[in-house]
Amino acid sequence: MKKKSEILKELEESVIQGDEEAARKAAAEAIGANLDPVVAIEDGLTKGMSLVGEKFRKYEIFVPHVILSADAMKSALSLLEPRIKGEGKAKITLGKVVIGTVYGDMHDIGKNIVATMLNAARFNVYDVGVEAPARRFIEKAEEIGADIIAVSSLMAVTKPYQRDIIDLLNDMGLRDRYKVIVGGGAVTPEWAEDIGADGYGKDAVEAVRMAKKLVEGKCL
Amino acid sequence: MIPFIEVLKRAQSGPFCKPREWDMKVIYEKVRNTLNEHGLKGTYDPQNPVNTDDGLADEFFKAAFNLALEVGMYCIDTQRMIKFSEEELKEAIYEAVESVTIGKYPDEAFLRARKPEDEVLPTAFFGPFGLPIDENLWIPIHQSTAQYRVVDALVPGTLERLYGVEIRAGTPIETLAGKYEAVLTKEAVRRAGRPNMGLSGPETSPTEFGHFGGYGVPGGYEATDVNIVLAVAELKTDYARLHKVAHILNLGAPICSGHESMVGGFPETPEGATLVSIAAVILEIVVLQATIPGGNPFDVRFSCNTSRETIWADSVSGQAQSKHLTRPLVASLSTLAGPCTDMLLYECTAKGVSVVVSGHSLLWGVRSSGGIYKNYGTGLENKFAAEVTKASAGMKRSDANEIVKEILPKYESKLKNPPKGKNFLECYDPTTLKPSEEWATIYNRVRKELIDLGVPLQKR
Repeated sequence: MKKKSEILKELEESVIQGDEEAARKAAAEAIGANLDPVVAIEDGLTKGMSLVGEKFRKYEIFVPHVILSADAMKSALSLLEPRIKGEGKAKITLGKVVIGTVYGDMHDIGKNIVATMLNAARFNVYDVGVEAPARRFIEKAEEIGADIIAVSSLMAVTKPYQRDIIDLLNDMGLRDRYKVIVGGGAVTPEWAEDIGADGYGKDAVEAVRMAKKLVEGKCL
Repeated sequence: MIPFIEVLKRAQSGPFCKPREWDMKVIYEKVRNTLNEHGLKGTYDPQNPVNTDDGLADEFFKAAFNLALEVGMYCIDTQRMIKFSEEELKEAIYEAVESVTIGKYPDEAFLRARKPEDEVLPTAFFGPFGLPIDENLWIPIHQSTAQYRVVDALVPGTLERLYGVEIRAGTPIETLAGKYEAVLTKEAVRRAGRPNMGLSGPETSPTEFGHFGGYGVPGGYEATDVNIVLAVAELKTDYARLHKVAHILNLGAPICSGHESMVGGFPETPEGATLVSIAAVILEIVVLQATIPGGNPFDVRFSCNTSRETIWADSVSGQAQSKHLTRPLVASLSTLAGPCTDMLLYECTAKGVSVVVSGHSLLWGVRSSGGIYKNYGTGLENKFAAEVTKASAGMKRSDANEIVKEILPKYESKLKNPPKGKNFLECYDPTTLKPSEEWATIYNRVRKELIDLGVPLQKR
């Protein structure tokens, strides 16, 4: 029988390699070895994903690899998560994020990278896609009980729609319920502050850091 | 050329493909496989940012043709692959367009098909390319570029407001803004004494509405101006882009296309981005019916196309395209530094020299300061870019490589945190349209530096 440290290493490695099959196999082994699923996730999968994020930041790997790693992690999580009991559950998910690109804007690559990285950082991510009107973000946030709404815009004439989401939240009396993060090619920290966003992410790494900061201390 | 109606039919009836499958199976896997099959993996040469190997450019073109043939272009709205036969693609690439005239007498300019190291002058098509610009500064900022005769045609910025009202994509305000942008830009060139100067636009048209409102309507942009249809992502199109194509065809005007092929994105490496960029150009000729196709490898890390990787990729891609196609070919210039910095001029130089010796017909720009900051565009960087590109005509690729090797280290380390520079009012006099002493001094210093490095700016 494999040592627990070996299984943890396999979980970590499967995520680094973006190998979905290996991730599922290692997760099954972890279950068979009665490894605490929280430990398997934190010291195996998450450790691997942190390294993937670091490699992406250094440009050693690219977008598709990050997606494959996130898929591998998701696949192993689907086996491990149902076995977590009680308080352990709260440790696993950092929060729920609704993400999308604003109305009139078809660009999705930046939004997809951020969604993948948030997922990998153990946020549950709900993607409302591109060209999403303000109400779609809010309806989804209400439906799933989101913690964060993350809004992307690439162009000068689409970024006003980021403000619309915040305005609509205010008008609906829901502003206090959600943290709003903005980002994208046309967006600056000054703009984020100007429209009353809670956070700004210059890139995917920054967006994840900001999302973690915003849910810090939050009882999930 | 395959009729556009046939393209539209295939957009509705081509093979179905889910978006995720397109990104991960078609682009990611096929690009990897194609690079391997053609022995192109690992050919990126950071020590030599301007390619001098004709064989490499030829092999990339062959590989890109195969990729274009195998996958076609993806229509986001219908989730269908618009595919073509080998004969259809060959027919498209063999069709020759030697020259396209833009603007009208006596201010017209000529976009000419070029080859690597060609002595034919590229067209200086410059202006505050897509930069957000205040409506009250629109005319002086554009006039500040149009006043320089070395600039042949003008690329506008993006309007943020119309009569003080915020412009929003996809609304009737965008439709109105399309024409308003044209009216203001025409006034700028009229004041510069070049009323018939060729223009591109509307730039304020993220969707088809700005385009419908501003192109081909009385007082708007005319069929003698260029209208660019920009792809959303690598080898992808949608009905908004196809609407624009239909409208331009109705007007009988030439279509200019563009795309960004992401280094660090789904094509992964500089080689992958090169391959996809060439395939995109081949497909833009048929899908978008582009007379003047083009586009660029773009760096996801920094959001620019002046990094070492993208300059190499663009040089190979430009050489592959210009050797095998006879058409005016477009490259674009997206810099990160802002006006009144030497870095902006270095970025213009590295990109300008490399694309001109690689056979591009025009370098579309200058999109300074990452295109983010409002009014961060002036005439001087556009004049400079025009001078550099024209001075590079006829230069040997090996000489260009040596120049770019000297220039890149001057700014590469600053790509992550580039200098914002100064906005128009901080470094230009809006009345006299003269640059500030500080900006003029930077321009003169860098210009002299480049002459010493071998860029023959003194001839221009």
